[in-house]
Amino acid sequence: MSVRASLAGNGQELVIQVDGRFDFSAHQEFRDAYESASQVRKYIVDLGGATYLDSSALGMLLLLRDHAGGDHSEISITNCNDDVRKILAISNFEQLFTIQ
Amino acid sequence: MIDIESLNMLKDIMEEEFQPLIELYIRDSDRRFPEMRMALSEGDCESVRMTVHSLKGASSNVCAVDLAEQAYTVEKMAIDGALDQLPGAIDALEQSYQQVRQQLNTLV
Amino acid sequence: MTAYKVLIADDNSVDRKVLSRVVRNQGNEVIEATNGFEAVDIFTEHRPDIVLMDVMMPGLNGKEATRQIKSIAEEDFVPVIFLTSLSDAQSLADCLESGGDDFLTKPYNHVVLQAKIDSYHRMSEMHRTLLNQRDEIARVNRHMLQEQRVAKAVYDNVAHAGCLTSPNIRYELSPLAVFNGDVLLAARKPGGGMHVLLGDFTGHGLPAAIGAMPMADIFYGMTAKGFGLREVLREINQKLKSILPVGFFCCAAAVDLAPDRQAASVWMGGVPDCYLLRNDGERIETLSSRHLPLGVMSADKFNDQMTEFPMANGDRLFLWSDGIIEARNSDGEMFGQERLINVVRDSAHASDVYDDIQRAVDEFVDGSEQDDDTTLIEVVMDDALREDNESGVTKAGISQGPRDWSMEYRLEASTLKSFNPVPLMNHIMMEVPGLRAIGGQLYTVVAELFSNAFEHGVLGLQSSMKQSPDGFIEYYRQREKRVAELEEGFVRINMHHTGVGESGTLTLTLEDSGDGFDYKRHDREEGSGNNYSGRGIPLIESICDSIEYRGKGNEVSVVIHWPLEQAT
Repeated sequence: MSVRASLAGNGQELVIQVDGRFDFSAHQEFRDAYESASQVRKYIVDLGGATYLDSSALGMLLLLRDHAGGDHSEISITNCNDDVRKILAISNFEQLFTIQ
Repeated sequence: MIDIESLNMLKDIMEEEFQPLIELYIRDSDRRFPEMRMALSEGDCESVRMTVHSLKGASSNVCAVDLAEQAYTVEKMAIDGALDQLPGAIDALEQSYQQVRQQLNTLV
Repeated sequence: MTAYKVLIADDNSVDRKVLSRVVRNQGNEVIEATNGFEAVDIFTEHRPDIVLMDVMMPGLNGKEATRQIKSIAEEDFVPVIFLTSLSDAQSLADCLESGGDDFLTKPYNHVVLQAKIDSYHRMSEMHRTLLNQRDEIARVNRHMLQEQRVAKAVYDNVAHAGCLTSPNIRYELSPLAVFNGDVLLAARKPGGGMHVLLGDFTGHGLPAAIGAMPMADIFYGMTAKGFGLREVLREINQKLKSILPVGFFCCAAAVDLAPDRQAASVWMGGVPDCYLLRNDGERIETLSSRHLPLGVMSADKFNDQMTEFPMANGDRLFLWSDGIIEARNSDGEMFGQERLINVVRDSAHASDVYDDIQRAVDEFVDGSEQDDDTTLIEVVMDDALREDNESGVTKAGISQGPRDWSMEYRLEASTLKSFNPVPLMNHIMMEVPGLRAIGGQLYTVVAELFSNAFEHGVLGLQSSMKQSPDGFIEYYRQREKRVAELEEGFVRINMHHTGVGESGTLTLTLEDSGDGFDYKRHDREEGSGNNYSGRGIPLIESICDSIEYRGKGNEVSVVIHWPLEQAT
């Protein structure tokens, strides 16, 4: 598991890449990734390298959403594999996030 | 006979306990020779060994290095049970000890 | 420097005195023993931190004395360093074998001597810390298990108020499952039928157990009072949202069994697909999660929409948390949805499915350690549920409460600016037991009628604005502006209820100070509606027996007869 964060779009977009198993062990790193960035308006969570995610990962996404402004947040979840997409679909997270 | 330099170091370490230590050494060692001969007469090599082992340790502590070395030779004889060699070796050891004793007495 | 208590055991008094002096000079406290027996006695009495032990001593030799000291010390770590002039490897190895920790060869190097004493002292400190921590962990663990037992007992008192033992239910839930986040609740409805809820809280331990308590309480309390499942879910969602930290939530599947209509409604949020099996057919119907889990959305955004489907006697519904699907075998492989559906498909009859699933999962995991509970429940439609065990009590319950009453509530501009009367209205209506089952829908009706009266009437906003996404945003911008500027206007609400005990009629009339609208034309154009405005109207029409606009269109009156023909 690894979490990498990088800025894009003139520093207004934060891309967070999560690789491997996205579960509770990523908690601190994931949180650090978005809490250390300021002036960010748009978040992109790239799950291209994520093999699995559990309910605590869903919780972390909700925390990010809360941090990013709740209902006014702009968060995309991208490059999900079928398993990850399925977990997001079961929880109906497409109602809260843009899933691409 | 005695490593004077080391003995002076011991003196520094022991301070006021130096003199009693030397007196203790002499008192202990004086006693050990009759003990060894007694044990030898009973053919008890293990007791001889224990006693000469103690003499060796104590002698090395008061920097009588040659005497300690000689005691070690006797200890090995006792371990080997060399009853024929031991009486002569103990006599020779005692002679060496008497010289150390005399030297210590002049030093303190 | 810390003074360590050092025991020196040596029969050779000259050796002992010299070593003792050296060790004392280094700042330690020394106790001397002249032979092995004395060493053991002194150790027992003074409990030194470290022992320097001559190997060859008459009587009890150093090795034997060490054995005894180590045994007296029990689990305390007391380093024993052998003092020896022996120099061959085997003799030194023998020293360590007899329980010694190290050796020091004569003549001693003072620097090495002190370094060893210090190093062993650090080791025994560390050992002591470890022992203390171990004891502390054991103590905390005992305490926690005790607390869990008590919490479990409290939880059981709440959870077992239900009817999981009902003959139409089979379930599997591990004894301490509440601390693993799984919750299973079932309760008979006052008018016949049953509510069932399976919940899976994120996380484990206390956070999950804490959430389960109010959930069970609300579920049983509201079901017993006759509230509909939608209303129960709405309340649970709101409660969990307010008490759980962000990121914690509860995936759930809830079922409303209505044997009188031979139907069931489900609400699923965040749980895996569940299956419905017909008693007389082979077809497996799949039910999928359509909502976010409980405790995620705020009350105003929570979606309580249920999916209704016919369910005949003997039809079976299987629900599970993700524990079954994620059960792992010894290779770490998951059981998976695929295996699960194959088991269901291969079962000879619907009535075998429950046992087949259990057997398949047991064989698959084959005793490997599981991270999650494998909660499974089978709910069978049973005509017997129609007859209520407690009908005497609940019939009486329904016939109690206010029957014939009316009230009028007029809100002036200054009040309308900041006060929403809908919860209060709803609260008053919920005093009528027969209205509780449709509490959720009633709430929507009142909320919709009130916002029409306030926004279109008092504030004069045009609903047509909401026909495009941009207009939608503009509408709410305007709304905010006009509320801020509002100085006059009113909304009058009249509620009128008549009842005979098991049925009744509620009439709601709302009048506003606005200009009204051409409701005759609106009626003609009905059906040309759009997605953004008037979302509530079809719902109002589905519940209300009549909707009548009056005057210039600034007054509306709706009539609701209960019980409803269909409770959706």
